[in-house]
Amino acid sequence: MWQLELDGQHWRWPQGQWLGISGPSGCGKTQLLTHMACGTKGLLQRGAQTNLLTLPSHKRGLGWAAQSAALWPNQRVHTMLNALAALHQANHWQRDAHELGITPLLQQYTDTLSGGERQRVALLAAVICAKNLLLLDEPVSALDANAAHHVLNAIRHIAAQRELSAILVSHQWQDLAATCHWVYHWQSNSFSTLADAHRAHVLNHPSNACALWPLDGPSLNGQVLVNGQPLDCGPLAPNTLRVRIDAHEVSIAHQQPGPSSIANTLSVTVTGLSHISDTSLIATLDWHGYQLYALITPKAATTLGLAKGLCVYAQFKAHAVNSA
Amino acid sequence: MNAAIWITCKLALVTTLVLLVLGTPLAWWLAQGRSRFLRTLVEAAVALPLILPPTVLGFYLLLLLAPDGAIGQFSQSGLAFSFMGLVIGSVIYSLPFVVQPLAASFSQLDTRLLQLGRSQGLNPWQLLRHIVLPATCHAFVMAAALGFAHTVGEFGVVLMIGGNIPGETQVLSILLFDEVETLNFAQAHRIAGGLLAASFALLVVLYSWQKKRGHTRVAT
Repeated sequence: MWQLELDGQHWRWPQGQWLGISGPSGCGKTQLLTHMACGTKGLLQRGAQTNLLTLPSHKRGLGWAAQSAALWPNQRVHTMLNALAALHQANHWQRDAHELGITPLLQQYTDTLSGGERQRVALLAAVICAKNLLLLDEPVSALDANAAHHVLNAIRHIAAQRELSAILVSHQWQDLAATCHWVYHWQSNSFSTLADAHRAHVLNHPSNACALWPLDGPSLNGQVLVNGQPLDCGPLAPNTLRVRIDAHEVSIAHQQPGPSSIANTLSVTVTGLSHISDTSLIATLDWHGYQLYALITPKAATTLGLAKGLCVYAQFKAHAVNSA
Repeated sequence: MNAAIWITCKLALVTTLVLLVLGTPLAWWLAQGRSRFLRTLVEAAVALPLILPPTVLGFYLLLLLAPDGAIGQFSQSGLAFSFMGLVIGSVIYSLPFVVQPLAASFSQLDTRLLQLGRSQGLNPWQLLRHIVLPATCHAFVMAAALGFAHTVGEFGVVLMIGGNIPGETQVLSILLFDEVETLNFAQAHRIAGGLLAASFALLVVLYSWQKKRGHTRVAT
């Protein structure tokens, strides 16, 4: 179990899991990570091991990908990574470089990289240096959504292989949802599980609503097991921990539909209806304790006679079941 | 004249090397040191040769390097009018030309980069090698070039503490003064023209390198 105590705040999270920290700009998220990397006050400890904050900065074994994505100046990317790998006996960093899509950048000078490229190289440098904990400060803020998703998946995969824990600071809800087991909301000083944090997010931003469901096991033959029930899915990465079903992929039927190309049909109960605009409405559905969201039109809700407590059928295609 | 060229080059080279070795830690402390008041005092002392008449500096150095002076007493016959004395005088006289560009460059170093380097496991020596030197190499080249060129061009201090001993302390600027005094204008032209061309060429090479360096980085 990791624990971090600083300025009266106290965080605890299990070894190997990721802690996400969200909050408005200027609330001190970056300062927190900087303090963990360089400061001396407080407690940062895994189990009963030494408090890392009592060690000099260069002996803490932290992999810090700073917000500025700072890299060693005036040298080629591979020179920097080779030196770091030699220092930390990380012999297989080329494999991780390939996974992060950095291989074509190795011959370039660090000063010539774009923002997104710098972030990916900084992430790899952090992975090479990390013996205890990864500190990721807005690590994919300069990448587009697809690339960010791919890079975070790759980092999560690498971290899982090495049983590394991580603290991820991000403004992007999707990034936190895709990677973290725990999310801390700085603004409300509240610490919540991902499911709780996600519910709060959906209430505040219904247009981004999506279901996040943990898997019971890895996908097999185009199916995943969720909540003890099989779901048909599209291709998923082998390291997928959760699946995401976006609200706009889900439709609702009043009666059990007949056979169709829509692979998944679940019997659900309506637990909430919230209007987003004149043409959009989010229906919150309960599936054996799991939340599912459907983005529909108010006209459809009226036609179906949707109301709280009504039992209906939710449908979504196999390819709507994406990794998260 | 060949002896004067050799002594001038030797003096400039030795002075530049000594200045880089001594000036680097001094510039680092000026840029990153904690005691603000002490830093201001040392900064002013380092900059003194920029505004002080060289003869004033030369006069006090002459007293210090004389056989019974504070420094000269440690050698058999004093350090004044010797090559070693010239080196000491040149180091002090050219100090701001090396320390100031280095300190300016060190103070512009991103502290977050240094913090990151430390957290990556770099000890102070590795931090210098992998981060500080690559980030400030242009300042080192500039400082070395300015230190070298300024030493080649010094006159007042050299005249005061080195005298004019051919083959030992007679540098090109002193030789030029000698030739003018004896109305040997042809030789004076050769020396003055040579110094002018060499100084101009050094600056052209320096600025070309700077431009090429910036261009290469962008184009790579």
